[in-house]
Amino acid sequence: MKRCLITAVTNTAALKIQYAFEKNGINAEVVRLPARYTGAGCAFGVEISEADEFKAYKVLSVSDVSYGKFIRTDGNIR
Amino acid sequence: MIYLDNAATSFPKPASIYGALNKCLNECQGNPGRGGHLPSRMASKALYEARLSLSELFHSSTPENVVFTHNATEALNTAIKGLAKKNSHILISDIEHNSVRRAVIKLQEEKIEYSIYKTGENASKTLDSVRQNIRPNTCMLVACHKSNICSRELPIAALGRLCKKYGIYFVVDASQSAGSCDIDINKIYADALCAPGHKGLYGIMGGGFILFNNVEAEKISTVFEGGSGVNSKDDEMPNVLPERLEAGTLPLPAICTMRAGADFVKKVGADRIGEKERALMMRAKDMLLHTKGIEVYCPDENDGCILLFNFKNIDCEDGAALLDKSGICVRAGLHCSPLAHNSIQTPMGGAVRASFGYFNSPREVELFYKEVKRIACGVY
Repeated sequence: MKRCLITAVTNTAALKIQYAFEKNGINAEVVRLPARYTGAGCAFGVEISEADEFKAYKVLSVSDVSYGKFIRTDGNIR
Repeated sequence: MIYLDNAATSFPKPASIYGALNKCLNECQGNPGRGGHLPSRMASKALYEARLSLSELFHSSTPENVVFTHNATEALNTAIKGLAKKNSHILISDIEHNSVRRAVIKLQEEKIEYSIYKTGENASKTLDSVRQNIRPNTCMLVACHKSNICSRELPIAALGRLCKKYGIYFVVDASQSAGSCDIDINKIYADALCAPGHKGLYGIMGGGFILFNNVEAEKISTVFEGGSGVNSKDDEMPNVLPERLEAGTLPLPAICTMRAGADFVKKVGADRIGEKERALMMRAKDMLLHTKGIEVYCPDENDGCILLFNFKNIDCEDGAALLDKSGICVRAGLHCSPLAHNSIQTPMGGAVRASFGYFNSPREVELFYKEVKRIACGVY
């Protein structure tokens, strides 16, 4: 299954995103991100199914949650 | 044993605390916010849920504004030193603990001055004293919500409003009030609320927190620098909360028990807990006020669970030692609050403090009174 990553500024921010998703029925997992996605080491993000990408974007747009980029695991950054 | 030293640390703890500690040690073996493996993820989840629980308890909608520390002293030092501005002035009350008094004394080395405002008579006079002491360069006011040596409560909502009017930071020391009264950080206009986890929140020792409210993270100077789990190549700590102020590994077992304690407080009700503690204190005070050979301090102040007194025939330390021989745990001396003792005008050596907790009973108060009376009569 294709996956989508949402970058977060910190581990706490990633957890806040994860909890916002799960509250809205989106399965999500906090993951460490390779430097190729963030330009620096030691970063966190949230991984979801690509099928939930649009729903996830909607959740974040109405939540008080800061987030970075949406990255498809095929490397496509949105 | 009758434990009456709840102002130092609460005992016993609710049963759920032991379960929470066991669960943490068994399920959260990793370092939170560090690795990507399951034990670290479990620890991170437990940590985040503790932030959620504490922010909810104090009516904040931003769990990331909960910054964990190792105790209230660290929390107060981090908030005060982090928010203090160069060449400025800080106001502290005359009942502050050494965690505030010594912090502002140290800040004098950085040309930050401090003044002390008076409390005690009534809210109006406390506010007048603040107004009289405020200066054009005052940047912060620190208020101890409830004293750690008597049952005095400061008018924090009114103080908070005053701070907003003057545009200065308001730092609240809730060490003796968190868990025993309902505190809404928005209604008291606090910029930072500091408390330990092991008193009214029933956690084990080793945890504390600051709850910030609408303070921009980058405006808070860091007191400690170190690992934050993110952006390791950066020379400075991250400019977002809570990571900016959480350098190094956090005391997760203490935090998990603090969370369980916060949940206990929510279930029972903070006001209900405080009311029970206050009733026990009032019962003891009524009896001691009518006991020959006993001096009770602040007899008209009833907003807490603390009773401060002295034996007229012996030193407070000797009195506390005699009570200990009878299995009654109280604390004598200055309670790390010489400023407050000076304000209340206890003798040089301080006084005896009995601090009642939610798990004390009226029967224990009776036994405490009986022993105090015996010592006051010279029978020991």
